[in-house]
Amino acid sequence: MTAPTLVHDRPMLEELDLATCWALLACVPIGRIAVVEASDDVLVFPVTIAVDDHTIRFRTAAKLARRLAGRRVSFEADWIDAGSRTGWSVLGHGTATVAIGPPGTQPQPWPRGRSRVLVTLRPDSVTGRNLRPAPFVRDNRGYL
Amino acid sequence: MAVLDARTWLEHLPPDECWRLLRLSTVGRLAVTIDGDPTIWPLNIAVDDHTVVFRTAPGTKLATLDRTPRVALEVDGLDFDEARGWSVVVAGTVRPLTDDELSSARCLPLAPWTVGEKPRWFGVHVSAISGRSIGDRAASTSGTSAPR
Repeated sequence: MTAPTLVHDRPMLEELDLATCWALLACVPIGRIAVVEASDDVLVFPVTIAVDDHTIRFRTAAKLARRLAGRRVSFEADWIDAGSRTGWSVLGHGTATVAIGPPGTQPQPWPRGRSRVLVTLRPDSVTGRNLRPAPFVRDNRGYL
Repeated sequence: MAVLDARTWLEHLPPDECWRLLRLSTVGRLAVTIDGDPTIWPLNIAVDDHTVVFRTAPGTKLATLDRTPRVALEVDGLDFDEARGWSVVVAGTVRPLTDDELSSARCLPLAPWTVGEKPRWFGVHVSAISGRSIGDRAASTSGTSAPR
């Protein structure tokens, strides 16, 4: 009895280990933050990030920082190439800590403006997934 | 007409430009609430009329969306090297597509990227949309992020 021929024409998802997740986070300057507001509305926005010592830092305006202080937040970063359908995404959860950062504190946000507050996130969970290209599998059917 | 913020140099995009950029996007990040905590899922999206459509497999995501249908979704096109690009954020409510919506949505370019079926179709019904850009966004409207 012959084994059936498996044909995967789509990529596969694989879980990333923690060290790989942090290594990937250090490769991108932008991530997204989500927070649930008192009204139960969900807020999501992109931020310029700096990653160091298993900590994510970003700077934002005081108005937004107030909505994050002491709150549970979710953090996501990814790199996805739509053309080849490859890429990765990393997701973290933690409680945001807010402090007045001295001028020049990294990371420097893309928007200008000096009234910026430093938000620190030490996630208590970090997970990641890798979108791998479809493996080449021989297809014996002889057609496309 | 886009409005440039003199303090931050951020351009606030008008709704029709936000919709145009959203329609160009193939990947979005869906922010949802699970047990009071926020979480973010990157997923493939397409826009049908003014509804953001995505597909999913039965499981955790589905159970969550039934309980807490209020969501936010972010898309962007960023040029990391030049520190420029745009982002669009929508707020809305998720619900399964109706049969009528589904027959229209089946024409969307939403074939699953990964192995495994995704038989459940959902729509984010947008209640608010906003967008910002910084720098010249002409070179970064592909809807995908570029590696640094």
